Amino acid sequence: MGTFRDALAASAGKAFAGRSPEPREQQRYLEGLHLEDLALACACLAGANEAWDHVMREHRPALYRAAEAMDPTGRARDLADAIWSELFARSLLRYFHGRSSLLTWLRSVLAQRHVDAIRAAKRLDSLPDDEALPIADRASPEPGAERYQQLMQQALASAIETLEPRDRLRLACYHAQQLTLAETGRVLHEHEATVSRRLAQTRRALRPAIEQWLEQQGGLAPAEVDRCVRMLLDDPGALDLRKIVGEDRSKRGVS
Amino acid sequence: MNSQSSTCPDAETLAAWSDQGLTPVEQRQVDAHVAGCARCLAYVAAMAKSDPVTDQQPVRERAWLNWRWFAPLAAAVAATGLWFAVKTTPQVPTGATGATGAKGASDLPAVARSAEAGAAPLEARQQAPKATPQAARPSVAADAKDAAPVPAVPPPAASSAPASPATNESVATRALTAPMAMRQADAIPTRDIVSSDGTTRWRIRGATVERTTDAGATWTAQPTGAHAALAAGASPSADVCWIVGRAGTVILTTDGRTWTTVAFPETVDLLQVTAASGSRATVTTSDARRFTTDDGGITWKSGDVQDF
Repeated sequence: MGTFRDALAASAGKAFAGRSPEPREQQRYLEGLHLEDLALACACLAGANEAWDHVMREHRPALYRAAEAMDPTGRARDLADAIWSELFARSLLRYFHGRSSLLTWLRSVLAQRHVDAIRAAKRLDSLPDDEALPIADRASPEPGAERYQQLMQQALASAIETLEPRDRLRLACYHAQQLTLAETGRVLHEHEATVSRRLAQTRRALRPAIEQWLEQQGGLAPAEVDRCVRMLLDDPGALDLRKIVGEDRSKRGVS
Repeated sequence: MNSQSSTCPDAETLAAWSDQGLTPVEQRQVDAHVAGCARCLAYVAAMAKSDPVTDQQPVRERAWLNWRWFAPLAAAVAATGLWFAVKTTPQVPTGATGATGAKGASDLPAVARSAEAGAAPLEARQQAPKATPQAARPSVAADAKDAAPVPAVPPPAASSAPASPATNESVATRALTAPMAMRQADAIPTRDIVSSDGTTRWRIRGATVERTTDAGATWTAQPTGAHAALAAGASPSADVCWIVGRAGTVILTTDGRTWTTVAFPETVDLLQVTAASGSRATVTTSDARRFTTDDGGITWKSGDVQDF
């Protein structure tokens, strides 16, 4: 009991970062903890064999399945091995404060390490490829294309910046990370139909913002904006804007 | 999008974010950070891919933006300022970074990293090919030149703001009287140990040991006398196998059938073992020490592990 009380105090202390919360806030926080898993972690740290056996049975295989899912080549599995060793050595488990389930926490540690390992490897492997080429170095199909692409890029960046964080996150998960609708929905705790609908809303909201930026910040005349958009629709290169611009513009009768 | 922010939430905060365990304010702050941080977006993707929830019918619309374009765009977005104001705590290098962890893992003896026979197949979690031809896209949204591991797990809070005893007591009592979920698992994790000549395999599952000599067609449980969970084993020949586990458990068979408990000088958890014969073996403890015996476990010599 004493160990568990200490764990609760440590968890609250970390969450409230030294300030003294109101009793109601504190109560709400404690009730929101994954107490069962925190108690399990405490028991493991206290050396309870039953607790370790439980973790061995239930969490270890789940962690390895997560590793396989993250990286079927086995690299994440090595990281899972290391995590497991650290759990056994009890050097890692004390960082678990019950704010998530133990399994989510284990997956989270694994995911961060996996990402960092990949990023570190990419840093070492810096051979240039087409993707690394600046836009100006790409072959342009017609005069002005480079400028339009650059302006479009800036306009898009500006428009994305104005989005609500959650809309930006949804867009990034789906388009940058290429998650499926269902995966994006799981990240955001939304149904995939909701994700789809809100993505569409976001794209619709971006289009006028892009056009406005092109006119006001990019200094393009309305005809040039149309030409810019049309050029990219004809040859979008790496940027497929048909979805965001083409359909709606055609509905408006803009050529 | 930042390729990496110096104030990335730690693994616990992100886990809580995934489980919706943060306050609404914290949740929004993490939303804002993750949306603008390449490292955290890659983390999100890794978490999404490893989500235990089965997703049978993945759906993708035709991509509007693809990675080539989104990376520089997102960097521009980040440059204009996605301020992450979530409460942060000092972070320390904990080995939570990939490079360190990977090295430690790769240095483990191969026998101690043998296949997890108990790991369930991934079919249930793997998804059908996506509707777009971008399945082979990079999974990490990172600009390589900016990549660098950062601490992921914070140290324990040194705060002196504990919960009130009364509150703690009620919550603690509730937690401890609640079931500890020590229920039987559907699939107990197992670990296979293959003899060096490949003719014999042992399978450890908790504190039990099974043996097969017909490539897994039939398994025979063997009494070992071990009561603690077994962690790893090594079999230098068809008849010899060393297995180690928690609380200084070492068991040995030299005839492939009967097991003897080998006295170990400490009750520390043992993680790995390598063996050359029924007489010579080296075990690694959970606190990164290595013990070697040349006489079948009658005497042990210790030495620190340098590369663990």
